[in-house]
Amino acid sequence: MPRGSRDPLTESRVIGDVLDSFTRSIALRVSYATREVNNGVELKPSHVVNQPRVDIGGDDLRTFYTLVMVDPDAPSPSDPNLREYVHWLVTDIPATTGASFGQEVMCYESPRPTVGIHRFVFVLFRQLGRQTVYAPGWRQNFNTREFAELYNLGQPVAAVYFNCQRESGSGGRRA
Amino acid sequence: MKALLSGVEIHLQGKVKQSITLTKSPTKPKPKMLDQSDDYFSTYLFHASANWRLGLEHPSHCSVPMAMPPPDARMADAFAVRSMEEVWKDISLPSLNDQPADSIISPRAHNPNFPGMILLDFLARPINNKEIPTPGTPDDSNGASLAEGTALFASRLPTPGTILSLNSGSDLQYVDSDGGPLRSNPTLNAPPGVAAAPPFGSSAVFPPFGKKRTPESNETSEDRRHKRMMKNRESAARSRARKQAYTTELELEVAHLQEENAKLRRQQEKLLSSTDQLPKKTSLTRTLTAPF
Repeated sequence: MPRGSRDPLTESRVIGDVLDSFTRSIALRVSYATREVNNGVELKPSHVVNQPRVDIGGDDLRTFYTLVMVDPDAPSPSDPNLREYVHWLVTDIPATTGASFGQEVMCYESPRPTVGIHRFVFVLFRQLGRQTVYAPGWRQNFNTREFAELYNLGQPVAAVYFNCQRESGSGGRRA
Repeated sequence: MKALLSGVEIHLQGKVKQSITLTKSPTKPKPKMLDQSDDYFSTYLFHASANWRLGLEHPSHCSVPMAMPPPDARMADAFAVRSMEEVWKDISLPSLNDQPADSIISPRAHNPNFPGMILLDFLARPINNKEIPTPGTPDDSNGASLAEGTALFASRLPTPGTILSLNSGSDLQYVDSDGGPLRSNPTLNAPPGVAAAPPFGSSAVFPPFGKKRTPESNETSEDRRHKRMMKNRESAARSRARKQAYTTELELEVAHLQEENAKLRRQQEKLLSSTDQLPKKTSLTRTLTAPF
């Protein structure tokens, strides 16, 4: 495998399964209590029960962003027939603020993976205008690409993901 | 006698035809072990003959066996000997008219479609398409009366209820020991439905009863092993990707933090060194502040 990619989002197939290649332009910081979410960190379901704190960058308070959190490995990474499952959808987040300043159009659902190790992806999009983004009818079989196209969100401006498996999982390691 | 026999034979043909295609319900009377005077068809034959004979005097349209004493004991015996084998033989034949009367008694042969085979052998064959006999169109020649027989050969199967009734019918008389596969299966006469599978060989036609009801797909253990291997490979690939992605992320973090660290150090140093250059006003100088 060429090491020229050097991008965790590509190597973990987040770019591929969920998103197309994009250029990061806005800062995105996600943290669950004391644990900051960096790409590929492993968090337990008990760590992610409640919604995280999200801070975004940008400069103009009149620019609004949409944050979506999806699980592309639902219900199991070897058979993800519910890909993608939406856990959270917040719209109208003003630049330089956080998710708590936006509209929570789909409330945060705690990750509860039962089979395998799942990726949970946060994606940030810039909106064209305010109140231009609406929730889908259901959580499963969501398609981030199509969603972005539907609401003219364009390419993502930031993304980060973490891994999560069931509470008593062995971490994919043999004892 | 001969004339009577052949007359009844024809009559029987019609009735037997009917009986085979009609026995679709599993609610037949419990089939009993064979006894010449008891078998279904011989009973039927009595009544068929009785009907036939009576029909001349009292036209009767019922084909249901009537509980009547056999009018002629000798004839009854003759008919009792005539078993499903005979019927089997007769049914399939376009050459019906060529049958000499005394060949009725012998159970074997005379079936051009299945030469040398008796009905029990036919029924004992496993159900699969490869068993179709050389005249390639059994459907045509046998007509509706062998609907079930040909259905067994063709890939579509009659319902278990139908097969079972045919099975029960075939218990009528074991003319010779070639009825082995059927006879040796003691469960054959047992409750309908389940027993239909074994006599027809385990050619995976029916889902295996007694296991889970989901049909066992036609994959061999080889296929299953292969599938498992592929799944394992994918899982291993995902695991490697995960590890690689995290490692890359950590390396990037480290690089980033090192850079930030270096930058901050530089800044601090700059700040520290620049304060050195500021003049320190530690000495007091006297100035005039008040008029007095």
